[in-house]
Amino acid sequence: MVKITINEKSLDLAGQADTNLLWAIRDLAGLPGTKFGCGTGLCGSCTVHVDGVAVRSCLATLEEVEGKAVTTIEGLSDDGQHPLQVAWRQLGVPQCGYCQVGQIMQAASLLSENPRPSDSEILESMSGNICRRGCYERIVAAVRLASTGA
Amino acid sequence: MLRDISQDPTTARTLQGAGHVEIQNISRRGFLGVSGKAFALALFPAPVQAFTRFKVRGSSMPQGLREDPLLFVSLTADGLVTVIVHRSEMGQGIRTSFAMVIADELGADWTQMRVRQAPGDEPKYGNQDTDGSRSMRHHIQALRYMGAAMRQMLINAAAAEWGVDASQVSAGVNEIKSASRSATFGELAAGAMQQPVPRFEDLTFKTEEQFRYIGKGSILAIDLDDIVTGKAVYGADVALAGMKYAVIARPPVIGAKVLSYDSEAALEVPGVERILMIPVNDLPIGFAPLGGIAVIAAHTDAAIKGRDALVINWGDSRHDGYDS
Repeated sequence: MVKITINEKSLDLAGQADTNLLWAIRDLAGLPGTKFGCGTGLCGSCTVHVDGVAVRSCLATLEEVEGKAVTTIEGLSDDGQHPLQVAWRQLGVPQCGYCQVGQIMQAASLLSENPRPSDSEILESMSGNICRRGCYERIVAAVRLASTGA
Repeated sequence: MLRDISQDPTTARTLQGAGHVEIQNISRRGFLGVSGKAFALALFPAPVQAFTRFKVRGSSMPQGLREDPLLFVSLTADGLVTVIVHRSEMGQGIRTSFAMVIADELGADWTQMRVRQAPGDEPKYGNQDTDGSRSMRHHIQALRYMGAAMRQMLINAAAAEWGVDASQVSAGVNEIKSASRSATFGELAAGAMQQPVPRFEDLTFKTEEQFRYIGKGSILAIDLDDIVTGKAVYGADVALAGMKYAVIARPPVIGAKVLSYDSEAALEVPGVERILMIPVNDLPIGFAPLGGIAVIAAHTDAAIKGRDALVINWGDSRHDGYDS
């Protein structure tokens, strides 16, 4: 058993110190909103927050997040009305949506440390999140909309 | 409807994406050059049939194509219209577009629409292959039929309840009305679901000008809210009671078979429960399983670590000489 905190809840998970965080979140904590993409930190679909900062959960272990606050898409907002979720809906960003949770978590981390990023700062922060459907223009527009309201 | 046509005759083109649609008003295109008023007058004498039945290639696919409104569409007293979608959503928007077609032909408002995913059951739902960009081409006619049939069943239910002839009853958006009465779809839902299903030939279909959603570009994905909140359920997200997780060590070269393997270290990985060999099929593999050695565990990470701990002695493959 490993005790970690996900979405402000303290959980005893039936894993080991070296159990991968992504699979602990999905299989042990039962939070399937976080997606497996590549498993090697190349695509960003597994992005969660650790103490508010975007982290690729597929590269982290339970041991590394002990005593820290893990936030997944299920805990980003109580009512699903985080400004990014609102902007994502308004612009109809996703197609299949598989990578979008990771995109939103990455963008939320960006906005929490830089509430008014420039377009180039948005692109730089989001460049590690791959979208197979190529929704990049709407992703950037939605991050901009959430940050500036326009 | 006639007013709509005269306002914008340029929209009177053939149904896009509907395949081999035969428009009964076959000379529509010719009308485009004349004034909207003349166009409307020319249409006026004959009842408008949006399309006549055409051959759908989907009907010749294995298990065919079903078009039973009672199987795919349900109306409930809460006013909701639930569409069963039996094709797979892959971002092409099929769950949204199936619901759009039903909504338009039925006359439901988009806010009333819900979709439910059908399980894999081809004898029940017809062919479920989702490939070739053809789910809509194969189903537009069936969907329009089912929507129109359900609209007529609402009309017939209202006529029976009000003691009038169905010809005295008409349908609007979420409304069935006669000269003196009206009811919502929800109020008539139970009665409508009990009505005999009308034949295609006995139905009136909407014209393109009457569509509120098809082709308007105004509808966002019906799963949008679920996607942005992480609630959308993808194949890998399905969790069943007592479910285990498996990862398979595949042949390093297609067609290579397992000569021997040692699973001792794999079985020592915490969480790993069982190791199973899946026979490797002879080449050409085609659509048969690739085979390999499966590690079954309490969670995916244990299965991955178990796979990595397997020691496998793979045989040769006739493809060994190829390099990527």
